[in-house]
Amino acid sequence: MSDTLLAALDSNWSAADPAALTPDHAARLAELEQLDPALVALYRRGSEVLAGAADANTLRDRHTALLGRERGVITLGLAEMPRLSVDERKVRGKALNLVKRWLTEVHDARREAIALEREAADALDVTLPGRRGFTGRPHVLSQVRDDLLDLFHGLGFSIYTSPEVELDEYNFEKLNFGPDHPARDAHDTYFAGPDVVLRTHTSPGWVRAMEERKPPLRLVFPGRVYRAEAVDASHMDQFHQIDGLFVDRNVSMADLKATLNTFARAIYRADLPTRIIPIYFPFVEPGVQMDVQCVTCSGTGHIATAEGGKRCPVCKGTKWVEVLGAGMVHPNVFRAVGIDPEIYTGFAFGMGLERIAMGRYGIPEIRLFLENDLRFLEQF
Amino acid sequence: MKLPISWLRQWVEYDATPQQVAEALTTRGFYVEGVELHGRAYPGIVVARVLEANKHPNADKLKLCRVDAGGAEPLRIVCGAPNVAAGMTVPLATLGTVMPNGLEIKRAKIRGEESEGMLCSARELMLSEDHSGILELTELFAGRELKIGSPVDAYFPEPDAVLEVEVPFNRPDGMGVLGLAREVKAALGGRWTVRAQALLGERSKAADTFDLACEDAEGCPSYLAQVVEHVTVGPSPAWLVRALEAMGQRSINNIVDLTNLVLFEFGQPLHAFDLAKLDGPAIRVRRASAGEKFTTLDGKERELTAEVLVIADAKKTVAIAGVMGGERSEVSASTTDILLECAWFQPARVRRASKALGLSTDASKRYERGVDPAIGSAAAARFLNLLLELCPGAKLGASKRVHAEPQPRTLTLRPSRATRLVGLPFAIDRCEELLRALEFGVTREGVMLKVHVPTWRLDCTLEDDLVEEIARSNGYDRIPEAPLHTGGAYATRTPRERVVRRAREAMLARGLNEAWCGSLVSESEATAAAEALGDEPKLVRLVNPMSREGEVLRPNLLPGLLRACAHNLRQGAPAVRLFEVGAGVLDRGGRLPEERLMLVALVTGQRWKHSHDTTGALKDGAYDVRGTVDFLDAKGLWEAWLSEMRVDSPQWRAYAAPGWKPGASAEVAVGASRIAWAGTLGQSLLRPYEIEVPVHVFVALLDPLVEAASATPRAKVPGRFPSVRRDLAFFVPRATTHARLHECLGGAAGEVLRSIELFDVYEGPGTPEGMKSLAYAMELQHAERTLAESEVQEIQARMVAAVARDCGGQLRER
Ligand SMILES: [Zn+2]
Repeated sequence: MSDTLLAALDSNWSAADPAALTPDHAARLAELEQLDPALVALYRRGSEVLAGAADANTLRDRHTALLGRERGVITLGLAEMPRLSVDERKVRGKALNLVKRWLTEVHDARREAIALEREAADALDVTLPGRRGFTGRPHVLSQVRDDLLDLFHGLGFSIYTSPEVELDEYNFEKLNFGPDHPARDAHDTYFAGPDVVLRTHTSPGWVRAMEERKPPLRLVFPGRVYRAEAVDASHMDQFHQIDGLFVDRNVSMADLKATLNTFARAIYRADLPTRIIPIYFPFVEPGVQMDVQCVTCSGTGHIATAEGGKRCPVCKGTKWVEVLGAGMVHPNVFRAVGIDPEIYTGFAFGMGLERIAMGRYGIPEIRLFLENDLRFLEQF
Repeated sequence: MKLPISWLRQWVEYDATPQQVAEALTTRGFYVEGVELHGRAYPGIVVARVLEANKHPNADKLKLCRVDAGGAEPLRIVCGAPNVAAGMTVPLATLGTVMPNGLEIKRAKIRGEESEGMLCSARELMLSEDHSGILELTELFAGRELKIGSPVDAYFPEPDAVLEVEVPFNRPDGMGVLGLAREVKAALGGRWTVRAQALLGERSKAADTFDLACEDAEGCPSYLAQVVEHVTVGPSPAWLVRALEAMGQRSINNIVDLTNLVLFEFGQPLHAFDLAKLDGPAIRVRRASAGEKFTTLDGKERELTAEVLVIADAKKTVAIAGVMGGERSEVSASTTDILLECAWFQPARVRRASKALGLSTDASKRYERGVDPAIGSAAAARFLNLLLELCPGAKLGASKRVHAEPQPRTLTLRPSRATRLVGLPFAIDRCEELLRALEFGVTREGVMLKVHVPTWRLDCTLEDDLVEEIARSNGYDRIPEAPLHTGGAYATRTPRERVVRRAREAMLARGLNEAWCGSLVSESEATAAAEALGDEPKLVRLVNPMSREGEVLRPNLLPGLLRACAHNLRQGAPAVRLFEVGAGVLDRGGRLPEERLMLVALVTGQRWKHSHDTTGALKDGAYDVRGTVDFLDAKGLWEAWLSEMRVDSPQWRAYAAPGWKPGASAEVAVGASRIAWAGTLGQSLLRPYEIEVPVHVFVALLDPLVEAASATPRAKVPGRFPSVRRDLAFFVPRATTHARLHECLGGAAGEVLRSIELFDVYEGPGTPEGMKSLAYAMELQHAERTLAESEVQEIQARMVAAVARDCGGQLRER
């Protein structure tokens, strides 16, 4: 019986020991020997050819030959059953079902193994580079500016923008630089006409804002400014500032100090020592300069070298680095915009983006900012 | 301004180190940039005696010396100087010494003989140029006992600390040692020295014996003319040379040196004329005649205007008042009699003259900022006393003084104002104390102070100026940090700010780097860029550009990005993808030019940052990710950006202008307004930058987007009934655009059309002559029910009919 069924299988089919797929292979053979010895050869051969199927297609063909519903060996075996006695039928039926279940198990295990082998064969070199699109980086000055604007937004400062090409009246006159004011010399000015300049600072924005709006005013003024200077490693004729202004009924230097220290703690380091000292600008009175402790020399004024030390090149031995100018809005500026300095007081401050960026990222040359070399831009 | 401690000590008695003086000045607003030691210090160089000087065994010109440097054993020193001999007392640089020229002395073998130091010449110590032999110290320090082994520094004068002080613009009094001494005195609680009191009390006496007339009393309210006869012009004595050297001023001759000394002490410019060269002799202070020519000390002939104040003699101009003297009346070696000028000129007048002539001098800068109008007399007295001392044969001659007393200034100070501005309570006593320390005169008037401003404090004109005096004298470090408050103001972001932020972020998301380009460009770059956008090139030109490359403001952002593109291509970048947000500036006839906010983007080079073929699947005609960006790649970026900017159905239309590649440029409109340009640039725009690869750019105006981007969309519920997909291809005449066909199909489909996407463009075998095939995928959906097949058929029929009617096309049957 088994031989006729076996004949339905190709004798050239590759075979393998199914023990790896069904650990109880030997026990099954023994059980079948007991139950229906005529089926032992069938199960042995069937399980071996299933285990020996090299790939999914071969396995499918052998599955069809063994377990196919129409012409599979098991189906053929069941078809022969009517010719058997009732007792034989009982045994044969039970044994065939057992063989069918076991072969299905071997098949499933082999199919699983083939899938695993297949996956393993498809393994990639995961270190190959991906197909990658471009990524865009915001300009380093944008990042510094946005950090500052976010900080000041949190402190309640809105943004005010004013023109880059500005009237002398706004850039100088109303900021308390009279026509013959010697401090004009500190602003090497590009002129675009008799009374038209490229703004030399972002402070003209305060004048425009104060003319346009009523206090309380809490504003920041980011933008590009110009100075007619020859360009070199540390000088550009175009650079960027952010001014700030707070005008209300009782604004004092103590409020200014709080804002400046909050700025320094957020942008530099929370525990970096700061100081404010007097300085002169025509548009503030009193005037304030804020310094932070030099980080290059940790506020010692000198740095270690092979020869035993030298003066710190960053702070030039002063232990401090200037970060911004500030002060209380000059009463003449208030008068120029029609605000009564007896009713309102205010503070203002201004800082350079490049200076902060150069300090933060260790950028050695100011002209790198507008050169737009991708190798520079993509670092930040 | 340099402040040598040696000078300061002559004026003020105080108890502090140079570092403490520097700290005090800095925290009072006179920023000290550094403290330098002036005078030589020679750490490591000691006094030594030469015990033996024998011939070097291996070199004729060298000597092998045994030198006593105070140690237990004599040192072996190889020396090349011809004069070295046993018995000399010499400077020895010991091992490890760093010489003034930076050379470090190390143990060395010289021609096989060990040398444990170096004997020094005068030049090696930078004492003089003498390098003929080793310095003999017994000659240099004649009469002094020199201890062998002691540092040579013990015999040199102690180095002087010199502070480099940044004097604020409003404090011209700080341009003299006297002014800084006043600050130090107030800061450190010092006292005037006896000498200072004497100098400040001196007054020059003037007779009415010289022919002096001030014809412009406004420009020159104060002028002293003093003749000194029988002076001897010659070198200055050593003390004067050294004193000026500490100030960084080279000695010229005794007369000039004395004017400089007094300038540095009192901040008062003095001028000495050669009396013999003055016609009259007389002095007239007057306006120049317009067009008058005058040759200044620097040898340049200058044309004067009537605005310029000049010093003239009886016949001719001899100096530009407060700016510079003339060549002809300069003091020279043959001068015997001089006329001293000590004057006060109106700051604004000096400034205007200096600006008009383009001539800025130390004197003009001081006069512009304001010299103490009351110091002249003491300064002149100081000069004259010293001159008579230096030239024993000299005597005072004729003189005359014109002098208008400076207007006294009295201000009122409310301590409450100081308290309010500084945020720290100030009692009236404290205000008075602080102001008095700075020599302000103070009288009480109830709760207020009447403050008499000293003549040298030209900066103090308002009450708030006094508040600053109080705040800085009290110390900014004592100002408390108030709790943060906003006074009720709160931060908002305007729609425009949000548009700018979104515009940047949407471009970054497309893989473009943000650039910040310069705003100043050349005229030719600007003109070409303006014309590319159809703008009349009304450029904003600088009156005083630094270079031709930066003579006009950019009319849009194209030039900067093209410069950046060219730079990166030169550096070998395989792709350049940059954008910038900024303002283009054009003159539109207003008082100020228009600053038009825009975003400009540029792409060129490879499509993907990285891509490699792992399958060999790329075949002819396939879209090659390794290829270079073309018009449609770029357009895809711009379309995606527009979509992120919430631009609803932008219309792309062919656009032609100089600078673009013909047939590869478009303008983008929404309704009637043009909001953007896009396309491939042409040779005329690229050639000046030497760019030879296709460059695709996009220019978008941001202001028109503000409204669209800030509109709040109304929510639509997605359709819940099944949609129907249909792919239809049409043959249309070659000239028919996608936009035309797309619009035609959309119109015919009506409101059930959910989407219509082009998926194929074909022209080749099977296409009728003069035609092309465009294939579209359409999705139809009804909002309230499922579409019946008959309805779909009907819509399709309408589309086919519309294409035939409006575009002359036909359905392409399969
Ligand atoms: Zn430092």
